[in-house]
Formats: sequence, C-alpha cells, structure tokens
Amino acid sequence: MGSGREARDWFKISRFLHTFYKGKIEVLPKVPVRGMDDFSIWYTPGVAEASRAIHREPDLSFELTSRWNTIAVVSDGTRVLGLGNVGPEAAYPVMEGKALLFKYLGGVDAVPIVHRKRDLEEFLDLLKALEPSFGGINLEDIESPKCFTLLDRARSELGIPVWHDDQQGTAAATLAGLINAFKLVGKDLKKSRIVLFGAGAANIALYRVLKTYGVPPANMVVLDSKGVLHPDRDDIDKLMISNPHKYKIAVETMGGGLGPSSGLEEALKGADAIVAASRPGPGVIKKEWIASMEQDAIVFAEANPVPEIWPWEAREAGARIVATGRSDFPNQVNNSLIFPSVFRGVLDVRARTITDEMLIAAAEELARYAEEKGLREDYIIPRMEEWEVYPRVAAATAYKAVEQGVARATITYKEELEQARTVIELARRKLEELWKAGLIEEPPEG
Amino acid sequence: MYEAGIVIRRPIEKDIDSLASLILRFYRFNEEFDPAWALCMEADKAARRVAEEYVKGSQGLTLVASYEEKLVGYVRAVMRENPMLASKMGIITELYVVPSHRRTGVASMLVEHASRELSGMGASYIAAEFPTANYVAERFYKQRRFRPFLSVYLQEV
Repeated sequence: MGSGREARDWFKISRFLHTFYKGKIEVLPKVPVRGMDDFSIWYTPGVAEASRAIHREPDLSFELTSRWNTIAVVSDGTRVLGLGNVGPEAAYPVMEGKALLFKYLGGVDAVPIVHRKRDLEEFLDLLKALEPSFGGINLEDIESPKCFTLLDRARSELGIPVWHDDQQGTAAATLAGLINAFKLVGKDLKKSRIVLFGAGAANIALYRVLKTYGVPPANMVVLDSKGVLHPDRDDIDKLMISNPHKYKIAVETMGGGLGPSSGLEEALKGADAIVAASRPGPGVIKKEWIASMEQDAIVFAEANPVPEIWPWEAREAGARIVATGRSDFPNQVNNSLIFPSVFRGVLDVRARTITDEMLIAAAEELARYAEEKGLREDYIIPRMEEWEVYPRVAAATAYKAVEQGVARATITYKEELEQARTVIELARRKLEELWKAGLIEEPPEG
Repeated sequence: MYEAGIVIRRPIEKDIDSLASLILRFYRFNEEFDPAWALCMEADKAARRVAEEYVKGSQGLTLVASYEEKLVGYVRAVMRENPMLASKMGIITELYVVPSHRRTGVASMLVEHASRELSGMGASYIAAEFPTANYVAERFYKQRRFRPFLSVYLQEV
C-alpha cells in the first residue's frame, strides 16, 4: 500500500490551501442589508427590543438570536488526532475543519474555541461561562482520563447539550457498524463475546454504550496497553485513583472471565468481534490471533492512519467482516456520519442534553439506513456522500430527545426529517452558490 | 447491603499467602497518596513476614473476610493505651477489600466485627489511620460517623 506517500501528498496540498485561504471558515451575515437604515433594525436602537425580551425570558435567546443553531467546538489541544499534546493554537486547524463539517453536513454553525484552561475545574468553568452564547458544545481532542470527568460533569452541570466526539461520536458510529455486522453474520450482538482493544476515549465510551444497548458486561473484555482490565490486576488500585473509568470496567466485566495477566492473544480466542481503537498498525493485531476467533469473526480496526491489521490480512485469517477508520477501504467507521446529524437534531428540539439512549437511537438509524440500501460484507455502514443519512439521523435523535423529555420543543420524526433536510440542503447550496459565483476564489495550480 | 456468603474470622496458617497478597495491595494502594508511604524494595517478602505475624495473633487483632474459601479482605487493628487518658482506644491501621467485592458491605462488616472485638478488649473508642490524602478511606469512615480526631504532621529530615 502506498498510504505513506498518499498521506504526504495530502499534507502538501493541505498546507498550500490553508495558506491560500487563510483558514476555512468565516462569519457571514444572513439578514439583508438594503441600506444603512437596516442597521437601526439589526443594531441600535432596534436591537434593544430583542435584548429586553431576552432579559425578561432568557430562553428567547434561542428564538431571537443565532444561538438556536450555533455550537462551540472546544479544545485545549491536549490530545489532537494523531498528533498528541500539540497545544491550543495547533489544535485550531482541526477545530476549524470540524466547524466546516458541522456546517456542510449538518447545517450547524460551529465556532472553534481553543484555550489554555487545561485544569479540569477551570475548563469546566470556561464551558459554563460560554453557555449563554451557544445551543450546544462539542468537546474535541482532550486528553484522557480528564475528558471523561469533564464530559460527565459538563453534561450534568450545563443546560445545553455537551458532546465529546472522540467518545460519543466514535462509539455511535461503531455501534451502527456492529449492529449491521452482527445482522450479516446471523449472530445476536447482545449474546456475543466482544473484545475492546484499547481503553481510550472511544472504547471506554463504546463499553458504556454497549452496556446501555444490552450487552452484558461479562460478555465484554476490555484491554489497555498493559492487558485485560481485570479486578485482580496488580495496578488495579492505582487505576481506581488515576482512571476510575477503567477501574469500573475491570470490576464490571471481571476481565471477561480471563486471568488477570491475559493479553490480546488470550482475549481473542473464541471471541465473536473485536473493536480495536489502540495504536497505528500494521502488525498490532496478528493474523494468527484473528484465526483463533469464532467463525464469521468481525474485526473493526479503527486506528489511523494505519489500522491495527490490514483488512486483507484480517480476511485471510478468517474474518468475515472488516471495518476501519479509513475512507479508502470499505466499511469506514466515520464520526462524520453522526455528529453533524446529532447536533442538527438536538438543536432543532432545543434539547438540554444528549443521553446515551439518543446516541443509540442515532446509531440504530444509521444502521437501518444501510440495511434498507442492502447490507453486504463491504457495506455495513453508509458512506459520507449518502446525503439522506444526515436528516434521518437528526430526526431519530430529535425524536428520542422528545420521547425522553429532554427537549424544550416538541417535534415529530417526520417534521424533523423535513426540517433537517431543508436546513442541511440550504447550507450546502449556499456554499455551492458562493463557489459557482467565484466568491470562493479558485486556488491557483500548486 | 452486606454480601451473602461472606465469613469474617481470624486468619489461619493456610491463609498466609493470600493475606500477604492483600497486605501488599493495601500498602500499594496507600503509596498512591503520599511519598512517605513508598514501599521498600522487598515489600512482597515483608508482606509475607507480616502475614505470618498476623496469623500468630501477636500484638493486635487481624480479621479476614472470606468468600467461598477465598480471602477477599482483611482488617488489622491494635489497642493503644495512654496512662494519662481515661479511655483505651482501638486503632484500625489497615483495611482492604479486593475490587470485585467492593461496594457490597464487606469493609463495613470487617470494621463492625473489629469494633466489637476491640470493645471486648476494653476499647471505648475506635479510630482509623490512613494517609491524609486517601479520600477513599476518608469518605468511607465519614459515612460511618467517624470524625477527625488526631492530626499527624510530617517533615522530611
């Protein structure tokens, strides 16, 4: 595979275009300015009436300002995708890219905010301070285990939805893939043995989501870099202090019935599925280990840029369904199918939070969409260009929020489907029109 | 909720290996909270010697919690007397339960049994010692109506 060379090409093109466009997003008004008098409406003196109304009833900020459709994409830059702790300034291009995806795929206005408040309490205070400006918050690229506590506390202490895409987005996309993979092989996900390899943000969230979905903890084995999370592991008491999430998993799963010093090789024997979110491969998962899994094994190797095992190697070893995080292989487990739609849905119903049940509803809708199109071993999850996916997932999320009583506005599935479709199509059309009109400049050959 | 099937008893000869392992775990856990609790190089061997002493029953009280013949926790306490004070005091110096049996009442059972035995030995008060930063222990004892009693300050020399 020439993946290394491809990546270098993307780096070169990306650097050139980032320089040319000087970033990726800008603020564009959405009201007409027919003459200077219009500023008496949009600004002083007329704007005072909007302020007075919101002062009397703060929730009107969702109706009289752009808050209803605006979220913050917030990072301290401590764990930036594939780069590590590069700091807030270096995280900005990633947050800006995320904002672009939010707008293009979900019609959501997203504002990148990178900051220096690495301390948990200070980070949380910052989110609370920002709350009046936004309808939701997307946390991004934050070191573990801080990210878990931050998300848990922000979810309970803020009155707007807070989402950590590295946890919930990846977990939802993975769950969608697993639902369909298990359907294809004719096994019951809730009765199967599942190995989660890597105990970072993605797999710890996936564990919680699978448990909520109905997979018994004893059916799961979770491994970090030291082996199986097990209550008798030597460092278990240290984990209780340093990473209570891992500790809880160890106690709940009891190491999946394995010994406390077991590794991935032992964990995979007789397993039905593995979801690896560990470190870039290839060779992190050996072919012979895959061969020791149950018949019709399901292998999700999600490390980027190179999966833990190449898909063809996994299949040669007997895996029936293989998914990765890469767009150039079949079955890409891609957060982008989830986060723009989830926020579209929660913003449209002004949800106060995003529950795990809403996340599962989003995953099930994503899975259902692919199933309707026709499941195949190389098609268990929709692709990014399947536009109808986004309003469908938004509608499922919004509907579940209403059903669970966490929405401020009531809407039916069908109404949200129409609304989401309209908002998303408008966002895309605006961008396309700007491009066609030459208002987005064409870059020189570079 | 106390876990059914738990037996609280004094340790016996065949418990030594398991008890040594629990003692080591107790000290490793507390090592996390204060550098003054750093373990010595041969802590595992020391743990075995300590376990042997505890089984002999000399100078203090040791109780173990067993479940299906397996040790899942222990408590160690000593009597402390001060000729100037009117009351004797029983001090819990070590308390440990394995993770798979936590939040099931085993630690409470151990403390209650130890309290009863220490009371029978003449103690009017039961105290518990642990590193100041051990918030897990602090929470545990506070929930059981223990109150702060003695401050111990430390300096490296």
